[in-house]
Amino acid sequence: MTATNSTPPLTPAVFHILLALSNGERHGYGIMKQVETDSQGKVTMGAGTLYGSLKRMLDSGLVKESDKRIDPEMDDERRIYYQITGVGAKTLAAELERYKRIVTLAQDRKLYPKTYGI
Amino acid sequence: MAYDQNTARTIYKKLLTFYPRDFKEQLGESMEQTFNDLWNEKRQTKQGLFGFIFWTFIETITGIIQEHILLLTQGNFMKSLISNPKSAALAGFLFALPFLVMNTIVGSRIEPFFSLIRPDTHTSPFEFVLLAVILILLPVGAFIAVRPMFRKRANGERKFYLLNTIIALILLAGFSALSIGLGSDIYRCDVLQIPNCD
Repeated sequence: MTATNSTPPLTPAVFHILLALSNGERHGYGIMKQVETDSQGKVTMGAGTLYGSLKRMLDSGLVKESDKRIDPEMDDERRIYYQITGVGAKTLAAELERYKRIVTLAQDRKLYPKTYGI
Repeated sequence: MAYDQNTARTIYKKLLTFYPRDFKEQLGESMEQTFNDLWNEKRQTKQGLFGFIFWTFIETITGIIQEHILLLTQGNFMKSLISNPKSAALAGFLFALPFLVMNTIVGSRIEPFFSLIRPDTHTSPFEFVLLAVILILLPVGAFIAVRPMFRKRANGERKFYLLNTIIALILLAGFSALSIGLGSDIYRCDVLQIPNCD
């Protein structure tokens, strides 16, 4: 997958995972918690959805596995961490640009107040 | 109501084995860890464990179905089927079914199938061909059953699967015994034409 204008819109799960990984590596549970925080509790992702999306993202090079290590805030189990790749970061930026254009369009059509503007 | 974490973990681990092989090898460990983390969170916050278990299992089963459908639509389903030890053992065993069905039809003279296989009083040429094809399926099934053992894992090693070996041995033993038994019958009855040899 490449981050071009012709890239199809991301699924909500993929978008939220990329957003969760945009400010650092996280393990599976960490991604779930970050998605909840980012969406103010409106998006909760189960393990089936999370790992199904992660599989596709790993295959397409949007994310990659990082080294196994212990999460200092949790128990002493070594965890697999995931990190966003350069392609993933570009894809996320392209998606955010798409959102921005939609919001601008909505503002132009007076569907969305400019005070909330981007 | 108390829920045993070890039991839930064991069942969840078993459930993960139903994911396609590549998926399970790549993400199975992470999924187990995440399940444990979620369990600990629910236990600490004293939120509904039953609801958590129920939805986790439903969601995981849905994920398993989705992954298999995806493989099917990508054309990798057969590859996945015969590379997974359990499904390869099942697929190998299924290759014995045509013989079992034919044997039941001929042995119990189930109509109208019996007349189709043997329209005359003696074994017909069609029955010989059908029998040969069905017998050949037995070693093919044995090969499919043991195939996962020839494949190197991520660490470069091969793994032994007892169930697959047993099924392959049964299929090969069946093939040998039936080939020798039926071969000698055919030789006596149809080549030497010994009277009343059936």
